[in-house]
Amino acid sequence: MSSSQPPSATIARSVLVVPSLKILYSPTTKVACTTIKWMLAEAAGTLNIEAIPRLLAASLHRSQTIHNRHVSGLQRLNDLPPQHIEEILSSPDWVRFAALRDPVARAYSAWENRIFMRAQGRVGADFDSVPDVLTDGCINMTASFAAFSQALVDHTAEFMGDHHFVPQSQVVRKALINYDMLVRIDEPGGIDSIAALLRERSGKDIQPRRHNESIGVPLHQVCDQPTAARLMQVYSADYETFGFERRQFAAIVEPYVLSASETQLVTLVRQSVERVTSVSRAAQSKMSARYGVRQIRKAFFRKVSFGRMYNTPRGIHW
Amino acid sequence: MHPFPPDTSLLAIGGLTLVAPSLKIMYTPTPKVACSSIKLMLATAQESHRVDLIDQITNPSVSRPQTIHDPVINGLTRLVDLPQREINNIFRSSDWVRVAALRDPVARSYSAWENRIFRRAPGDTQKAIELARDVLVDGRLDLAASFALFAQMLGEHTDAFTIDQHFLPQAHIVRTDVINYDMLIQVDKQGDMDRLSTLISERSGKTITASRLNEGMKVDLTKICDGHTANRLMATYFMDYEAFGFAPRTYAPTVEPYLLSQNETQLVYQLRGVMERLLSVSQASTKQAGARYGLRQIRRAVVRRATGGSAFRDNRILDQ
Repeated sequence: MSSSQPPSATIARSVLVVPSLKILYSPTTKVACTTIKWMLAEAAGTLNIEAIPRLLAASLHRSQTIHNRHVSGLQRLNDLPPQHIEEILSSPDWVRFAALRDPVARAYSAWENRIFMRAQGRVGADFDSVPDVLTDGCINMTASFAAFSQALVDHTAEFMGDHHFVPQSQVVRKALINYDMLVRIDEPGGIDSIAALLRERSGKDIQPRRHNESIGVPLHQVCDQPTAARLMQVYSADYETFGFERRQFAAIVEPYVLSASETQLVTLVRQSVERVTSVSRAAQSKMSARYGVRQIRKAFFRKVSFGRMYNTPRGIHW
Repeated sequence: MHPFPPDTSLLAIGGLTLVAPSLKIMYTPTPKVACSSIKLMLATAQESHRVDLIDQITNPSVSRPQTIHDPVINGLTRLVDLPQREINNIFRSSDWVRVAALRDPVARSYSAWENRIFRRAPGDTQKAIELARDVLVDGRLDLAASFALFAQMLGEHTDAFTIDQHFLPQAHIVRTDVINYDMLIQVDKQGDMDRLSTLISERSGKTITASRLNEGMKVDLTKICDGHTANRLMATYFMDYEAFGFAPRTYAPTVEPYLLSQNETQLVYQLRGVMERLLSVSQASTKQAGARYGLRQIRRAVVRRATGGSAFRDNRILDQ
């Protein structure tokens, strides 16, 4: 870090603070950040679920809307004045925490969400580098995940455009933030320790909730040792920085092939995800001065024509 | 008892009916009776299918192929929007072909249940979903028991379901008592869809073939529907059997529980989550109209510019 730069210049924009509780949290995608943000917003009293029906973001589930700051009401560290940031980063009154997760498990979770289920992200709609591997027309999860791990090795830079694939060591920057708590959420009691902190600081009964966003396939059934080795190579910085133990996986695993109806359901989910993404983009494009002028003009002509003009969905919105 | 409703107003007999003027084909679409495929064939034949506009519409179609139901996308004309003289001509002229499609009522009601209730495709089904709740066994969805409960609820609270067109009897939509249909195809009868595609091909001079668009979970109906459930559905849709002479199918007296796997159950929940969000975003978008909204957008743009982009920079929420 350059000495002339303020710390906020190099700290991730995603870092959140709750001044009323004196808590700083560095969210890492696919490391229970949905659960933690819900707890933080509840503890801070900033949760605004009334904003959810006004959201145009292509979230795949209601629980995911917590990532919008109008819903969570949580403040970003970078939006505060530099002096305040300095205080937050150094004061013993503040608790600075982040969550960590085994890199292979996190990579699987990111793959399942972004690639496999097609959640909107910066990997984009071009999934040619990570196609489904099919066995008799059904999705072979083991082979598909293995293909992803190879693509991640071969095209690392492209994947890193999406923060779900960025190493945890690039998000949880120990050199910049003096964390008081680094919690392993995949270890017993990990997430509960965050809930306990929030209960203590807020005086509210904060409990972690599972949001059940994954299919629930056990990692050891889809990940073999060569696949894990490739992922460990990509995320080697995480192992070095946080001292994760290198988990052992079977040298060979039986192909985990989805049934025909599971495969069909995956197709149906993907189709709907594509549609919600499309609707979200179309809706967000209707937020400009030019669109506003058109709406005023249409409203005027609708009124003077006694409702005969611009009275269809197409006429009203376009 | 007369199988058709007494209302013979134009809206009642042809409210859903579409016309393809260049082909001189009138078509009455019935939900869950291959209507996506038929609309696509007509729109393709008439060259009115606006694929280029799909990403601009914000209706809650559950998939890209389903956008064919949007009038903007299919480009087909609604019968009721035409002048009365033209409507009379379409009803009587021998130049026009009047088409409708039919389907075995039990199979259709399964398809409607799977789509609207089980998978939660957006519709007027809030009350119906509450009534026809999931039946779970050890945390896994039991498709057979859930479908049986639906059949029972449909019989006991019919109005809560038929508010959604997908559950209306076919006799309420295809009014053969009033409209002289030239072609009534049965989509689950071998070759009937081909008869229709041949007609459309002949009239358009193009090669038009039917493709399946609204594919569900591909569950074998005989594995989840027992005789008791089928009888309930047949009783609810008795008017369809009377009006169109469907042959009642026989089902096994009992069927094994049809338990979805943990993965399937989880995928169904994921699908429902996406559906809820799709509907929510779509509903939010309907508010993006009117002079007041327009004024707010102008104000927003001015403030954003004046603050160098620091204010109103989030396009993901309305009225921030």
